[in-house]
Amino acid sequence: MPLFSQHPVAKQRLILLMNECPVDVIVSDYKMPNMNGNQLLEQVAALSPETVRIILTGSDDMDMDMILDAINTGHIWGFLHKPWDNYELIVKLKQALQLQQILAERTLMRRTLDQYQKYHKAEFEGFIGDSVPMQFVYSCIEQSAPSNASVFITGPSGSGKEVAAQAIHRLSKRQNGPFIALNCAAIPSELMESEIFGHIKGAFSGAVSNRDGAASLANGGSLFLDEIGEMDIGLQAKLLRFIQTGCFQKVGSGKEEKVDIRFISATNREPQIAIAENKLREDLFYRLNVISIALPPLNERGNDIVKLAEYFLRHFSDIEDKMFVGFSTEAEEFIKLYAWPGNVRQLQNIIHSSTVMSEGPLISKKIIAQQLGQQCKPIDLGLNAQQASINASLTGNNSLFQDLPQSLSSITTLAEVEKQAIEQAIEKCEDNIVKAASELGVSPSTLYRKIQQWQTSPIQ
Amino acid sequence: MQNLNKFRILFVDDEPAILRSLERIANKIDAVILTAPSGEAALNIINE
Repeated sequence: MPLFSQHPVAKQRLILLMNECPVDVIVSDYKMPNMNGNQLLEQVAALSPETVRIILTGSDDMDMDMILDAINTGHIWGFLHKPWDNYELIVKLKQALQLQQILAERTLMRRTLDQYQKYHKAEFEGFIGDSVPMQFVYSCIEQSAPSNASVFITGPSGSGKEVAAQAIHRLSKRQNGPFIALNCAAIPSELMESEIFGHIKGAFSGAVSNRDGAASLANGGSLFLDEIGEMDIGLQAKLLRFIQTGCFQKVGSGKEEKVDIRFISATNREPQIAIAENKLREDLFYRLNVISIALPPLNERGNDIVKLAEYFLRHFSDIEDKMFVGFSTEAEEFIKLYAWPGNVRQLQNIIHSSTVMSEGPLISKKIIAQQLGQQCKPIDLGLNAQQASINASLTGNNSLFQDLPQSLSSITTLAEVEKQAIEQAIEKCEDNIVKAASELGVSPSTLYRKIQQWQTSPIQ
Repeated sequence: MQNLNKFRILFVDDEPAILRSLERIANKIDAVILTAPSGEAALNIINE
């Protein structure tokens, strides 16, 4: 008799629910002194509506009108003859138990839904979107924020790792303390130690005065280490010691300083791969990864894309003093179907440039496609390509992006385009990565990361 | 706190012999069987 739902949590809750209902099935004789069966079941119906109620009645004292009335008013679910047939009794009881289970499960489902709706959020601490994956993120942040535990945030670039870190800080007991963010990819490794720990005057050439690092500045608050996998592996050992003891020394100083810091770190790499590649110390990772929060890419957030796009449009219309009321139907479809490899940040930038580069009242698909084309401008390093792009935007037929939403293979195309652009730039700059990066308008670390990515997982 | 995960069936009859008989048959079902000799006793069990 499979009366229970198989899921262990559901089962547990079902049991709790059943305990609220003292009796699942009641079978009562009709003719009894003082209170008869009908009166009893009427009271039971009021006291415990989930209890399935059956009356047991002999043919002598069977009052058909009473039984029909009782069934019609709903306080009796069924009746059994006295004397009873054993088989019939068992079947009736099993049926009653099945009904009881359905009722209990329905109550459970309603409560779960109520609870979901109660905790369901359309936006949360700087995030916008009510998709299910984001609800998980919100509740993770809410639960972890008040503790002092280190939080490790993963997610592709542009998915909101710093927004999450700030939310954790704002919801923590350290909310009135400082929030210091340090991007380990943006700072050259030679300067990183001083950025984190500070330095004293004369520690190295150029250290003309004492300077506080992030460790001192974040005292009493939270320190957010973004792109932790890009930090020099030697420095990671010093960081680990700092996290374990709360003590550090400024560069060039022998004086130990102690601070009280909550660590939040993030990476867009898969931590296990970064560890395998010796980019991230395993012991440091486990120290930082007490609680992990994974941010989903934008294209896994369902209708949140449209909500975000609408939010950005209102925001940038205000800032840029434009009169946009929304997106054309075509544009909305495009936004929904595009892969958004740069996630929320890319969407934000595209909406911003679209509001700047066009006039209201609607954002068209054409302008979005054009802006996506502009964003990948590095491909136009060659003059011919540039000319082609200008021609394309003049005729409104940007061949690269024209049929983007229809074909999924365009996702790879974009990555391929990016690769070509980077390779061209590096070639043009005679293998000077730093120069190539500045030509492309990105940081050198981004280029190094991209190149490494191609080596580990080549674009098909 | 035992048998929390079992269904509970309550029989009510003023004849002890009938209650015993019902209990014996219903024991074939995987459930906890309770009995009460009167409506008042039954309400007490439900109000527990």
